[in-house]
Amino acid sequence: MKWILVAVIVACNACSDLLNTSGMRAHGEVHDFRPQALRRLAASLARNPRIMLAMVAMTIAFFALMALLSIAKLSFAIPATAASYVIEIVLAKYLLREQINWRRWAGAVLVTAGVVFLAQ
Amino acid sequence: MPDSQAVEAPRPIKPGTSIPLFGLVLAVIAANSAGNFALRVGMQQVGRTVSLSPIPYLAAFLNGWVVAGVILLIAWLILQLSLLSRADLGFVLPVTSMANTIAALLGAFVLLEPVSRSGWIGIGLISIGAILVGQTESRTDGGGS
Repeated sequence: MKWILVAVIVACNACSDLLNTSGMRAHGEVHDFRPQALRRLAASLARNPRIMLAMVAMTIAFFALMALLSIAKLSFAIPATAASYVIEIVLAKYLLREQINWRRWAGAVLVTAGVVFLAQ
Repeated sequence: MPDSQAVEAPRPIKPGTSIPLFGLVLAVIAANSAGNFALRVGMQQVGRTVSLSPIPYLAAFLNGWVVAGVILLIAWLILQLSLLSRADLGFVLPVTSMANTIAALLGAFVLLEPVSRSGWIGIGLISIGAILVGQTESRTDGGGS
């Protein structure tokens, strides 16, 4: 059961980050952080289907993490779900057409390893 | 089918009000670390809250640290989305993972939680990874600030 939950968390994290990135690119760059502009941003994001789907995926990931933490140790849950870093870099390369050079690959691997160590 | 997400005409930005990309990265890291820290302090004060009923979770909102944590994490979400509008996912994820190390350092030096040797190795590896990715172009898909 715990590996099913890990798979759900990794898949939902990856989906939410990809959808958020894709949705925000469609929205356009955000530079204005005055209160009025933030209200307009919130209204615009609420009408953005990719962002809304991303929020659904984030919610599922959150509750799956809560369920995982109720049956597994934190030192298992966090490293197991850190796999999403590398998976998301691969998906960013092929789905979002990002250029991933050696520094980014190395950085993603180091961060994943770091999260695994940090959670021990 | 027209793209329903597109894009209202951009409104003019007052000169000097735009946050530079590096500042936005720092704001994301700060909001995430501070939000998680406040939530952890608050939930330690509230005590064990595992229930199928929503009432204990709602009651936790009577704690000021919990409220501050939730507000900071809402701010983090807005800042993170803003950052994703201006930089690659492959840039944002590793660089903002510095929040993990800040959270661990806050735990070690403010809450006086012990950090093991593997914890320090993890903090070092995440920092090196984030610095390495921070030296790459922030956006490679043809857009960009």
